[in-house]
Amino acid sequence: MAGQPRTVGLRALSGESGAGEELLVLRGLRKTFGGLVAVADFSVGILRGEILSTIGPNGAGKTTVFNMVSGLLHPDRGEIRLNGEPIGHLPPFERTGKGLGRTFQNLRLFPTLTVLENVMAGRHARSRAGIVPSVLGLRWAREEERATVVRSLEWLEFVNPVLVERWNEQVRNLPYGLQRQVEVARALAAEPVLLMLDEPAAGLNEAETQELMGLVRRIRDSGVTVWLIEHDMSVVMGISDRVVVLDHGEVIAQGPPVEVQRDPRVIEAYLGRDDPEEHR
Amino acid sequence: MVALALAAVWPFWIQNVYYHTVALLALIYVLLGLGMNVLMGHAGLVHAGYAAFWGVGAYVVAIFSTKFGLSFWMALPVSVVGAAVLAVLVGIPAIRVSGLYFVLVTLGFGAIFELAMTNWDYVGGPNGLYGIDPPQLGSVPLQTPRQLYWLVLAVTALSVLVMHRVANSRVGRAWNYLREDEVAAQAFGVNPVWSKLQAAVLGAAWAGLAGAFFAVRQTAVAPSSFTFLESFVVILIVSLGGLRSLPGTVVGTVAMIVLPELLRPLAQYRFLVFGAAIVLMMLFRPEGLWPGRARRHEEIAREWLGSRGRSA
Repeated sequence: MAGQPRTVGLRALSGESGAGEELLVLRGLRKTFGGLVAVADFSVGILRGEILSTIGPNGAGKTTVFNMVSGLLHPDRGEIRLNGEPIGHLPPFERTGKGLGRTFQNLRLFPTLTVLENVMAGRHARSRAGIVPSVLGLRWAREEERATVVRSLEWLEFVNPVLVERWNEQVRNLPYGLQRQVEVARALAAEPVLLMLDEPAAGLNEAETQELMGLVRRIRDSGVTVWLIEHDMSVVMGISDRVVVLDHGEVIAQGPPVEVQRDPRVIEAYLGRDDPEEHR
Repeated sequence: MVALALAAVWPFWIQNVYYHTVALLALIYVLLGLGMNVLMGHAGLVHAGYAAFWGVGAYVVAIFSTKFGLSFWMALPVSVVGAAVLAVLVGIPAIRVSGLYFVLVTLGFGAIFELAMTNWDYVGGPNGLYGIDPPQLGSVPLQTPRQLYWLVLAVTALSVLVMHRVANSRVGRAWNYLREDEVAAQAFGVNPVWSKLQAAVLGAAWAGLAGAFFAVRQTAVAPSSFTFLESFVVILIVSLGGLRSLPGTVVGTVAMIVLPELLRPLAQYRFLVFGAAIVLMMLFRPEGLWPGRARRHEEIAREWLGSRGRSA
């Protein structure tokens, strides 16, 4: 019957030959809240297989850009294309299936559910059993369910084997650093072509930050393009292939980390004005 | 399985018809609780107009029987589908609002249903409809409470199996994701409107099912049976027993329906006692008397961990 579960391979791997081409293209994104211009005019092309970082002081509009790409906010104008296909009109729940995965700046886990159940959420868009096949216990639905569990455990193991030991604990009982990792595992379980990490190092200590950077590299090496928003300059400089600097809703610089770091406008945005606390 | 066998055989030993009647009513409330458990337990939708779906099921059977002389078995699917269709009509506006506003919208809907039935002369207005024929099994009319009890017991057993599978399915998990964090659920592919409508339809369908059996148990229906208070009783059943717990629904029904029936002299204090019980529960045992959760994925995980030589 037509009910075979969708193949659940690493989709990104098959596209590896296309390294260097533009995976996600944003053109002229703008978002205002009342009179406040959160993002003025944002354009960027993310290349397949790279780690791109977007940095900028607090309030620069970084998370707003992420929310527009993942569909939680509607841009006032501008274009979003993934693999050449416009996705700007799609509701958020359909963008997952197109290959977008993300984490949230302030954790958005399902607090009373277990670690495993949280990661299984990532499999939702990669499975399709509805009420009737599940109730009838059709063979393909049972196999899909098994694949959902096993894949989720495998992603937990990929992110951090410690999480596999704690698979059946309520996620809210985990230390903060591990909760962040569960969020990454959940996003990976959706097998995205583009993983968007919103300030993944926020609240992490030095050792945890190092571990995170290693994880981001492993994710990229597995064939997933990574786009991260970061506040912490040291994280960005260590792992990014390219950096886009956002300030007051506008791109003020972009390029390889070393160049961006020397850019006078970037230094001004981070150091030169009223709030020296911005630079950590 | 043992519990089901016991539930099936005790009426042979205990011949008192009164107990059969109470047990039959309890089973009908278990069916209601199973439906409410989907809405409130899984999807987090506290449906305060739930009794109206029950009412639709009961009125459909009553109209089929008293107006057209049609059999219970023809009415039953219409009861279920009718309640489900109404759930979609109410659900489309209601599920766009959340939390307390959802409660208020559905409360209003429940009140409209009761008023409509009270003022609709075709269905007897406040007096309702009476003289509903019993269901026939072959040529045997299932007339005694004991016969009906067995019929509804079979339906309930099947329903528990269905609800168990739903709770352990992709759809059941999606409801839980939405309840816990709607934004995150959407970001992982859950369509909130569609998913909540599924919950509303499934919950209402089971209320319609319960209503159909309620109509043949009473042999009469009247608007006063489907007030907000009845929705509230079902909400209490699932909260007291334990949200998302199938045994909890049975435990909650015993506490809310069976005990007050058996302790008739104290029945007028029922809401006093259960009001206090709910307050104490929320303080000391918020997960309910018999908390429950999905288990299937845990079995699969243990198997996988075992096969990799890890302890589960």
